[in-house]
Amino acid sequence: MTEFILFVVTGALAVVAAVLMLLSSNAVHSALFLVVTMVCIAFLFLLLNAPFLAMIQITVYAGAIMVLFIFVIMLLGSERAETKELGTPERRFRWFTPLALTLALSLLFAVGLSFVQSGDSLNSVQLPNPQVRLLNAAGDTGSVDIQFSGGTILRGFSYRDQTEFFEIVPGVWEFIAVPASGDPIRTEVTLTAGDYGTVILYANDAGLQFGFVAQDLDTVREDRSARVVVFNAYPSATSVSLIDPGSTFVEDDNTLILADLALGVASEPLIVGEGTVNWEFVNADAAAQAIVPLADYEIERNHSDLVVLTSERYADGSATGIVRPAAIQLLTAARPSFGGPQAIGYLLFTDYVLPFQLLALLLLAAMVGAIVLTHREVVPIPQRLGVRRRVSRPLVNVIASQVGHDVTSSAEVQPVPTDKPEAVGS
Amino acid sequence: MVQTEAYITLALVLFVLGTMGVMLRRNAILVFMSVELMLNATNLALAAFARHWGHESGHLFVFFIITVAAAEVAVGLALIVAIFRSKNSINIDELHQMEG
Repeated sequence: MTEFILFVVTGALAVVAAVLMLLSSNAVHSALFLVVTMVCIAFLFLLLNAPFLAMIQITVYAGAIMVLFIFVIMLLGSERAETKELGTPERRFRWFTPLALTLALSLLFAVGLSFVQSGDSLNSVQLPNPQVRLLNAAGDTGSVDIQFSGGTILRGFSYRDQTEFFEIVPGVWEFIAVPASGDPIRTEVTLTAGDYGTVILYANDAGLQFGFVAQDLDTVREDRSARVVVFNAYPSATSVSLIDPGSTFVEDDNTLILADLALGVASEPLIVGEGTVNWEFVNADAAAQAIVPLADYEIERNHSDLVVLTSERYADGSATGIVRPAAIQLLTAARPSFGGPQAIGYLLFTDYVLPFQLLALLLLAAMVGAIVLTHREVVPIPQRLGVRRRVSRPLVNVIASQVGHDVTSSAEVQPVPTDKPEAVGS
Repeated sequence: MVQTEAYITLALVLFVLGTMGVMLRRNAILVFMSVELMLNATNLALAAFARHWGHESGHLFVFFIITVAAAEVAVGLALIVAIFRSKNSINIDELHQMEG
């Protein structure tokens, strides 16, 4: 409701300032009213989740461009350039006024029509399609085939394999895992628009299981932090805890990070500051027996990580090998926030590089154009005649004025001899 | 959340006001400012559609429009200055001849 009130007030202010811009006879007043309209539009950009555009609008539009306008108005002294023309009957193009009014009325009629006919097509904001990825955390089962939506999408999907996020249509989807031997298992996942999730295949005492972890890949709002979700797929303990063991030599400086995570359950997201951490999964019973360390885990800022605790079969030279716990980390960068400089910069440098370069070329052309259009030939200022002539008078005239008679008029020009000079010494 | 339609309507009203300014005002600089108002209205509509579809391409277009508008203002005002030098007026009713 607050947002709607802000929208109405800002929008009304923008329209009123635009009308006043049209009506004021002084061009400087018009420019200042246009600044008000632009600041209102910058505020509306903020309401529209476009903070970067709001800043650009204020700095470039309300700042640079309007400074240029006001500078030119004052330079030309044209604040009231048209007032004397407004009342004169012999204005040219008098048909502009009825045309403009007709256009305005028809467009406003279209606005009213859109209100009358408004369906629900534009009433809600569209969310992007959900995205899922698959992870095989069943360390003791061998490879499986994954069927999805009536077809096999992955063959030989073995332990520690994972897919990228892929986009699917919202709805209820069934994933089927077909192991090499044994019955296929299936799970149904309900996905709504805007969701991100990981389908995890793990094993417990009863055999293969599916787990689903909904993940939040939005920007981590906390400063220099990451979001970590832990999924427990470790069948040998009833529940596990995640601790920071602190110093190796001191027993009682452990810090509990996550307590009592049951099998097949994902934790709430943990917000962790960036840096390297040394954590440890422990059995959640009283003995707090260590399961597996999470050593030198690099927490990067603005990541949304998933840590899966599972068990894997490890070949140690014996016939069957041994089963040991393992932690799988899926490190995913969180999406840049919508409309922020990071998201716009990313788009600009990926999808819109070519338009950006064309724009740079256009700006260069505009620069050259502005220079060419306003360039004036520099006319040299004429010097005072006497000073100039005294300097540049030929030497002949100087001599003539000193000796008292005109040398140039009386001097006879000797004709250039046309015959060949006699050869010397012939 | 305010409906997208409300933003589009506001953008339409501002665009109409800009169009009227272009057609009714005789001062060339004011005509230019009205064009800027029209561009601003378009930007508002683009940002509203970008939010509606949850994709930032609309923001990119607004960014491009703002940049092009800056270039256009630089060239346009240079033109106005050049015209003012030769005609000593920037009333567009008096600028109906192509010859300089």
